[in-house]
Formats: sequence, C-alpha cells, structure tokens
Amino acid sequence: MKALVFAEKADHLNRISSKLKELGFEVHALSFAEVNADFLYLAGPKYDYASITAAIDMLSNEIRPDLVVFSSTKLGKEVSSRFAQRKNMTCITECLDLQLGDSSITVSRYSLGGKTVTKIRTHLPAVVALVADAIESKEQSFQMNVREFQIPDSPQIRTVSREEKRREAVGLKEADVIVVVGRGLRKEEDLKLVKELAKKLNAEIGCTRPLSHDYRWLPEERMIGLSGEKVSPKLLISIGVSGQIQHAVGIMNSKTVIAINTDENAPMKEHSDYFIVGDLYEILPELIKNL
Amino acid sequence: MKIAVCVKEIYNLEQVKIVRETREPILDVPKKLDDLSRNALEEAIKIREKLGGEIVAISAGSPELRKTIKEALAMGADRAAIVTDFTESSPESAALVLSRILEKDSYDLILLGDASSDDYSGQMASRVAETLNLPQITFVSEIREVSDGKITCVRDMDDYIEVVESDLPCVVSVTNEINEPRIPALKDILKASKKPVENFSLQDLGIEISRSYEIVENLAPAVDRKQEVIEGEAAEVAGKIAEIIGREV
Amino acid sequence: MSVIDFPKNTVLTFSEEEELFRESVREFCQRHIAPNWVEVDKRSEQNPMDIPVDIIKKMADQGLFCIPCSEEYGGQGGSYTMATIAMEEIAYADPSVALAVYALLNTGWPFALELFGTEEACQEIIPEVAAGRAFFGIASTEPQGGSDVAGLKTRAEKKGDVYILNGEKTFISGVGEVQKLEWGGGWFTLARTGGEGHKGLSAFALLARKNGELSDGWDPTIYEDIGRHGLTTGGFRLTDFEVDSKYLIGEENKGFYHVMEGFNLARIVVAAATIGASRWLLEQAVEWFRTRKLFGRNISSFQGVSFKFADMYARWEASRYFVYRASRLADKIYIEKDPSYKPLDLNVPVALAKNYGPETCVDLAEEVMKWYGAYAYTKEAPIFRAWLGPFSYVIGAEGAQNIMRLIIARDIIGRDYLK
Repeated sequence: MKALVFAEKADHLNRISSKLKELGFEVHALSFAEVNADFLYLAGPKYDYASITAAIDMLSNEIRPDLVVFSSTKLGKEVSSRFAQRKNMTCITECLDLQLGDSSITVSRYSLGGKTVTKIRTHLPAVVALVADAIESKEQSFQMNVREFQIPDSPQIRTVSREEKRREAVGLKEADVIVVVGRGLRKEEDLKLVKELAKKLNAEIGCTRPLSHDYRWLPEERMIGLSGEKVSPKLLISIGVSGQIQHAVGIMNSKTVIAINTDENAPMKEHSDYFIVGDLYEILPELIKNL
Repeated sequence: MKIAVCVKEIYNLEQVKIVRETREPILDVPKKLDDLSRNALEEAIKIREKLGGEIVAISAGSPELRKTIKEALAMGADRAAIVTDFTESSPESAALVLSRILEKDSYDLILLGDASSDDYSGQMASRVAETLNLPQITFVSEIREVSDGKITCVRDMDDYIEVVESDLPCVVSVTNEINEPRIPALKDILKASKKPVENFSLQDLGIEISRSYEIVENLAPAVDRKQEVIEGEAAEVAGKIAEIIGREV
Repeated sequence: MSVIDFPKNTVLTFSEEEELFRESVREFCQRHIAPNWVEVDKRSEQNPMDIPVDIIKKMADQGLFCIPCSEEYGGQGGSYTMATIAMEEIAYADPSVALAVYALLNTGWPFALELFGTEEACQEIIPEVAAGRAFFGIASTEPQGGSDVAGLKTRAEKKGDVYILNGEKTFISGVGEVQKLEWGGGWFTLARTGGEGHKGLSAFALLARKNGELSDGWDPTIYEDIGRHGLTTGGFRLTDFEVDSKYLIGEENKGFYHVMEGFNLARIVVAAATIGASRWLLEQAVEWFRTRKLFGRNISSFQGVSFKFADMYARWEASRYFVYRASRLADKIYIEKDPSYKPLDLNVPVALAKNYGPETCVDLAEEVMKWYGAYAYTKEAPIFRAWLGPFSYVIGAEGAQNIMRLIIARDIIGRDYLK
C-alpha cells in the first residue's frame, strides 16, 4: 500500500507520515523541507494551487498511490479537492483521525457545525485532508530515499504580494493551564484582568472567535474552536464564554474545565466540571488575590 | 457583469437537537440558506451595485430548496437556477450538478462561500473551477477590484495574507469575515416571489448520482463533565476556585 | 437557540413569504434588539427622554414601520398579518415590549390614517414615520378617563380653513418621541366638533411637531412609567392649537367610527406583541426547569410547577390563534377588500385577542417569577421587565380589558340584554 502526502508545513508532514507508516503505508512525500518519508520528493516552495495540483498529479501518475493525503490547511483543502476533481475521486477534508480497513479507510470529522462527529468509510483509492494537530502518531523509521523534484511552474492566477501573518509564538498546544476569555468581557482594556490571572497561573491565554476575528482584541492564533486551535491542557479556566459548540469542540480534550459565567443557563455549563455562576468582574480580582 | 452565486441550503443548525441517551441528532428541522452563501451573495450584490449586471443564484438540494432559494432572491439575486431532486449529496456530485447548471450560461464571475457552516468541507470552489476549467481564488476576505476581465482579491490563508489577481471568468470563494450580509426587508421578500426560478431535475441535466462513501455513524461527541455548579459571594467563590486550581495543577 | 418552536400546524398556517419574513425579522432582532433591550429599559428608566433613536432608525431601515401602508407612501405594501408577525418577533426580542409598541403604534395608526385621511396628510406624514423620522400614534384618553371615548371634552372650532383645538390629553404614548425624532410627529386624535355623544366627534391628524418645528399651543409633560421604558408616555394641553383642515381624518362628526376601526387594528398588533413576550417568558421557564434542581430533582418534576406550566402554555397557544385569526380577518377587510367581510366583523375576534394575549402574558410573567424564586425579585434577572411592560395592556392601554369583555358579551348575548 502506498500513500502520497503533501503538506506545506514540515511538522504537519512529519505527523502525517508517521501515522501513515504506523498504518503500514509506504510513504511518498512531496515537501519543501527535509521530512520523514520512505520516498521524499524535495522541492522548492510554491504556494499556488495550480502548480501544486499539477505536481501531485504527476507524482500520483508515477507512484499510483492507494491514498493521497494532505494536511487540512486552507491550501491543503484547496489543492486536495482540485486534485480529487481532476481524478474524479472522493475527497474528505478536515479529518480528525484515519483508520485502515479492508481496501477502505474510515475517517472521523465534525459535521452539523460541530454538533456531531461523523465516521465515514470510503474505498481506496481516495483523497483525504487530515487535521495534522489532531493526528496522534508515534515515531517511525523510514527508508529516507530523497529525490530532488521540480514543481512545474504553472500558476493560473497572479500573486501580487504575500505577507506572512505576524504571529506571536503561542504555546496553546503545549500549555498545562489555559485561560480562555469570551464575549463576557466588556472592553478591550479589561483584558488586563485576564492577563494578570494568566500570569499568576503561568497560563496561556486563549479566546473565542468574536474576540480574535470580530473585535481583534487578541491575535487569531489564540482562537480556540472548530476553525482555530484544539487544546488539551490539564486545566482550562473559561471566563465569560457562552460555550457555543463551535468553540466547545476546541476544549473537549482538556482534563478539567472551570467556567465562570453570569448566565447559569449558558451552554458552557455542559462543558464544565465546575461552573461558577457569577460576575467575572467581581470574581477575578478576588481570585487573583487568592492565588 | 454576469455573476453566478452558488448557494447551499443547510439544516437550521440552531434547531438541531441531540437525543441525550443515544447522542443522535434530530434532523427533523427546517432548512435555511447557509450563512456563508449569504456572504457570497452580499459580495455579488455589492459588485452589481457598482458595475451593474445580473446575479443568478444556483443551487442543488431537496424539494425544500424551492422555498429556501427565495431567501437568495429576497436578498437580491435576480433569478435562480436550481435542482431540487438532489438529496444524496457528496462534494463531487454537488460539484457536478452545479457545474452542469453553470454550463447552461456564461458568467464573468462565480462566487461561493469558502465552505458551508454544516460540514465545513470547503471543496466546492476547487471542484467547480476544475470541472469548468477555470482559475480559482479561494478564502477571499476582500475583493479589492473587479473590472473588465480582471479581479483582484485578498486571500486570508492560515499563515499568510496574499493579494492575487486573475482574469475573468474566475471562481471566487469568500470567508465569513468579508461582509455582513443584508437581511431582506418585507418589500424584498414580496418581490422575490415574482423573480424567475428555473427548476431542473437531475435527469434534465443527464446526471446519475452514485455515492462514493458511506456514513458509518453520526453522533454527538460524548461530553462527560461533572457540571458542578458553584454560586455565592465573590470572595467565597474565588476561594473555592483557588482550591480547585491548587488540586488540579 | 430557540427553546420553544412553533408546533407543526395545519390550522394556523403561514405562506412562504410570511415564514421568510418572520425569519428575517427574527434575525434582525437577534442582531440589533435582543442584545440591547435590557440596557434600553434600564437607561430610559433613569431618564424617559433617553429614547433609543439609533435602534428606531435601524428598525426603519429594515422596514418595520408602516408595514401595511402603500409603497407610494413609503410603506412596505405588506398585509396586516405581516405586521402581526413582525410585532410578535420584535416583542420576543424585547419582552418589555417598548420597541414592539413603538413599531405597532407606528404601523396601526399610519394605516388607519391611510384608510380615512386625506391624500395630502398621508403624503406628508406616512413617509416620515416609515423612515423612523416621525412618530404617529393615538391620542384619545383625557383626564376624566379613556374608556368613555364618546364623552371626551377636547373641542375643535372650525375657523375658515383651520380648526382651533382646546383641551387636554393624558396617558399618551410618544409625547417624548415627537419632540426627539428628527421630523417630529403626532397622533390620530379626537375632538368635539358637534354636540354631545359619539356623533359629535371628529378625527384629526394632530402634528405636535413637523419638519423639526414645534407647533404653537402644545404643552407636553412626560410621565414616569413603571415599565416598558424606551417608549415615552405623557400628556399635553392644547391651547388654541391650529389644525389645518387637510388634517381632518374622514368626515366631520364621523371620527368616533374611524377611531374605533383604528383601535381594532392597533389591538391586533398589541396582542401580537404580548404573545411574542410570552414566548420569551416560556423559554425562560423551560431553561430554568432544565437546569434548576430542588431537593435533588429538577423543579419541573414537581407537578405543581409542570402542570401550571402546561396551563400557561395552552393559554399562549390559544392567544396565538386569537391573534392570527384577527389579523387574517383584517387582511380580508382592509387589504384584500373582500366585500363579504365588514369592519364590524372584527369586533369580537379583536376583543378576544386583546383580552387574552396581554392577560396570558402578565399571568405567565408572574408564574415565571415565582418559579425563579427570590432571584426574580432582584433587578439582575430581567423577567420583571417582561412583566411590568405588558402589564400596561392589562391596565388598559389600547382599550381596557373589561371593555373587551363588554364587546364580546354585547355581541354574543345581545346589546339589549346588557342594559
């Protein structure tokens, strides 16, 4: 069984390769950097869908993989589905895990806006895009045959400019303690209170989508939820978060969840071990004093 | 400018409830036009306001779509072309159906949402563009300029912001941050009923749907939190929280 | 998330346009009203003249006023049922009903003006009301009481092309709004042009302020209400107040009949607002039942609670039937102009809706407060706001409850047997 993998990020590729190897695939990877693979096709970086799709197409004609795998980033989703359409194949994106069956695979992904997890089985060959952060894998050993590869330069659109998003190094993934803040916070200045608490607890700060994407009080990389980070700290303190399912799926793997909310009927209650009914503006100062 | 907007009907997710014991979703709820489809439509309306032209809403779905599509017409689409016997949906079959409808006319611009709010699969722009052999610009957070034969867009990608341009015709998918879709007023709703809707069947389009995958299960994730409620004076509550934190960290 | 969904129904049915309209009003309200109603109620409680002008403007832009008025007057060209749907949804988002009452007065009374008023008056007033730049409500109550319309004392003397009005009106909605909104506004009002009794009354469009200019001879006062803050109540004295004859509504000395038809129309949407507020209250109850435990059980496991809830739920559903039955009938008479239906046919259906809707709402609010317990008696829980607001309609705004009963009894038993 052969798998052909592409991801623009090396760490995504390594995770996915290990998972595929664990399942028994011979792993062929198209990469912009040195990564783990049985057969590595090392290429200069390119970010346009047309060139990458053409490259995957060439490699897949050569390798004849049973499974073509992408990282479920925006670029990964765009290329995987364009490629799948070219080959008239099924493609399943945003997969949270991958299981191998008898000439079939089974994947899980959220559906109904995060309300449910759907398990989907499809026959091989197939195309999938995996959420790299959700994939658990152990270290594997690979053959490491490396070959230089030229991605054909065949863009269909012109890039005028590309600017890296300025990102703080955010350690949400690794953090033991996370303080999450939501729309219960009234003003941007009040973040001070949350930061003070986080400092006391040596915690990372996360937030819900409105704070990062609508109000822009916190950078996007701190957003926790379906379309943001999925975290697994020992302790998560959720402050003024209503607990919409799109956010809640991001905290499901936390060990203990404490939530503070004025609305005792907030959906957040269901996702908390300890649900404190009260005003964050009264409780936080007291709590900071107590720590 | 002739603009096609591919829109999708989805379950009204707010009304979808979960059976507590079995964790199964109850899908006996009305359908509605997806929010991201409305972002795409809003963008089309803004372009029409500037450049004039026509907006055609295109969709494939259940018989209920005959009603749902009126939301698109009320928002501002001039007419609609739909298939209403498409119930076994997969991304590849949906792309095929939409492309067949799109082929019946010629468009300068094809707009859609970057995904749908129900399953967030995000394949439709790529698949439609590939089928029609058109360029695509996905995840667009701003349309900078549309003029004769050219479009310039800002793309909001995971780690970078990109400005790209493409010749028209082109397929463009938009993010939900691009705009705030208008809510149709009563006048618009009353007008919508008089706008033409072409209704095709899969047979008219010469399409046979075959399913390429199988849903093994679809259940709400098991949440098993203690849900212990703590109430009281701020100081007292803060003490309790500190105690829990001490235990857990 | 909606907790109370409308049950599947083959009797109370809505067209696709109506469903779509309900959805769009609900979405508008969730975006602009639901997050702000408590704040509006609190702010205007402090200062009644703190009128939510920004929200009124947004509601106008969304086309929520003058819903059944013709498009040529800037109305929405909708049916009366459309107006009813809108009011139900606005009150669901603002159960203090202040914003719903603003919208319903500015729907029912401009429509009554369109039915009976002069072309000139309609051209001048309705577009401003539809645009949220003017208020147009009803001013009939006088210091001696509101129910005895036929006995009112304000006089109008005709002098050439104008009428000179002298008198006093009390407990009038919109006294603040006409002063604060950009253009101004006024009321559908009654004054005596002839002899005693209801046959001596004429209706006028009385503009206290227009084009931003206050009219002479109009002295207002603002009251402090106990509920539905955000909509002002006040009174005014008229001293040689001049009304051009183009503002005479309908025929001279026929004003009583015109105002009664106007009341029928307005009462339908008042009842609609209370069923919207009731739905909010029912949801508060259900959410509470699902989370609140007493003696280790959900409180709704006590039949004293759940059976009472069932009774209240039944009254709410019954109220909805009354309300929409009346609105459909109003459509037959005033929108479709079907000759087999007459204005008088509305009397009993409207009285039933106006009697049952507000009483259900207020009784329900009281029950919900009891289920919530002490928490509901604090100002932190907003339930009391959904009690005090609708309570104005049990007290008698837009027609006293016992007048509604009288209308029903008179019609069913027979006028002669009630004397």
